[in-house]
Amino acid sequence: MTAQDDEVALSLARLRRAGWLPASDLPFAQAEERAAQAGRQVIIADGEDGAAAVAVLTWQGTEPAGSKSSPWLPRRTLPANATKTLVVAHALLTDPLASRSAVTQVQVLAVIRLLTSRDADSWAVPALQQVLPQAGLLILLDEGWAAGPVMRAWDPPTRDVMRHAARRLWEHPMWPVTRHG
Amino acid sequence: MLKEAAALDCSDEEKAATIDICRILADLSPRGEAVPTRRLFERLEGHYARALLESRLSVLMRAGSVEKDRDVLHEQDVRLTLPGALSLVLVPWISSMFGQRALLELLSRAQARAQSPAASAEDVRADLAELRRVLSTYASQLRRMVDDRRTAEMIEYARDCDDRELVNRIGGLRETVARSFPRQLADDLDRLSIACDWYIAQQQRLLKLLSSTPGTRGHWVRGDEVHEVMRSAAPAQLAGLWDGIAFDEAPFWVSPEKVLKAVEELTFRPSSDVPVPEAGVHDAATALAGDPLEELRMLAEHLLAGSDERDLTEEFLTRPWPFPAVILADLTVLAGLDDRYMLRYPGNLALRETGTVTRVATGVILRRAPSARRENLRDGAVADGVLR
Repeated sequence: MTAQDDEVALSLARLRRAGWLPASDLPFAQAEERAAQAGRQVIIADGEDGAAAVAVLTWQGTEPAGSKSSPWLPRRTLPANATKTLVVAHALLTDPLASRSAVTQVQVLAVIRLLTSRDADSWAVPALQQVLPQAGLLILLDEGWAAGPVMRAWDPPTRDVMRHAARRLWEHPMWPVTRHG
Repeated sequence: MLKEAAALDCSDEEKAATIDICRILADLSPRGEAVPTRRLFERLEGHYARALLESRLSVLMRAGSVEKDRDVLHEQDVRLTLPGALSLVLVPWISSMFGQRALLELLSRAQARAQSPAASAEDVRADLAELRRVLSTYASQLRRMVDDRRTAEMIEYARDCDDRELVNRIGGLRETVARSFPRQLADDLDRLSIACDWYIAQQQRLLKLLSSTPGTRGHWVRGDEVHEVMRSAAPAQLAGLWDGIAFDEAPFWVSPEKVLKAVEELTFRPSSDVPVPEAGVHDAATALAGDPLEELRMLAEHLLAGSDERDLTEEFLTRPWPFPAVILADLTVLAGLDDRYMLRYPGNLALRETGTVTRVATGVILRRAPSARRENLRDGAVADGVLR
């Protein structure tokens, strides 16, 4: 095995573990070939506002659901509270009337409080600070949390579900009407 | 018939498409008029691919189940023929003839032939030979299934196999044949017995394997499943399988179900839109009719008509349905709530024939408890006193 093979294997392992890598760290051609052999694909998501492009590992076609019987195909499902936080953050980021590129923790917590009339600090803060960035779904910038590389490379079905969820939130009478980023 | 059976050598979807083409043709032309193929395809294109429909229609036309309206080159109209109409009934029937049911069907035929007084020894011998061949083929198939550990097929086969019924039926056939043709067919019966024993042995081997302890079964079933997946899966499924085996930690997956649940929780609105009901206005007329227990008492008193005891059996036999059941339910409630009334069941059944139907009622006696009688008398005396 050559040093280059080692490098490809290492970057693929890193890509596989995190779901994404800075595009400059990945030998794209080899990685693409290896991923294709396993029924997956590597796509390059361009960074917004001058952020560096990232390579994201996705599935060819729809991501297969976890199998509940043998042979098990384990899926590490995003926990329920993290999913809830993600739905709110995504709705804030994609709100067509606000055109935000990032959301702050205060904004997310305020929206959850408006919608549910309850404090969400105990579960939304760990989700925002640990789970969602670790999953590559959000990324911390100076001005707040922006769409992470995995979110930018969602497959169409996931994108549709999330868009549907966001629309439901926008239509809620308690959705904040402050229209500035 | 062979041509019809040839149409069965295809996938389940192709069979279903074939049957649906015949059904739609029959539905669209109740008087036998020709149906444009365009109309036929329009009706079925939501369920099957156009290419599949075209290929099935051409198979049906080759087999003579569907014919052109006129024998010209570019004829577009078709109609169902008699064999096609028959296949509507026969195809599902033949398709379901699988496993032990087919064997039992053959046995029934052989048994009927052997019992017939007009049957010759040659006819019965031919039946026995046919049965023996089928039994041997089934046994060989079972043996291969067990040897190859084809789990899915084994479970499918074991679901409707009952070796005891088969042994009983073959025993019955042996007795019938031995009685009708003593000594003439002894050799044929022996050969049939050998085939039957082999079949039963294979079947028991299969059942034993399926009923072994989960640990033992897991030893080969799990490997079998993985093997099965690896043999037939598409590259994407293989990737998923390998992904699950090789890596201990998969990337986070956004579950659509959880997303929708999260939205439900976030947009939950307590049902504040439901108007609070206004306070009711007292209405003397409705207030009087309010006490259901009093209504039940009135019913009991009406039935008792002043006496202490009444046999309701006659009432139940004559009143139209469902009044007997309703009355009995009402009285049972009353007897439970008010100890002044009792129901007694002597245990007899009364029958009455009315025209073509016979009505049945259990004996039920409604009684007033002795204390209630005294109370009623006292109430009556007080009332009388007031009136006076």
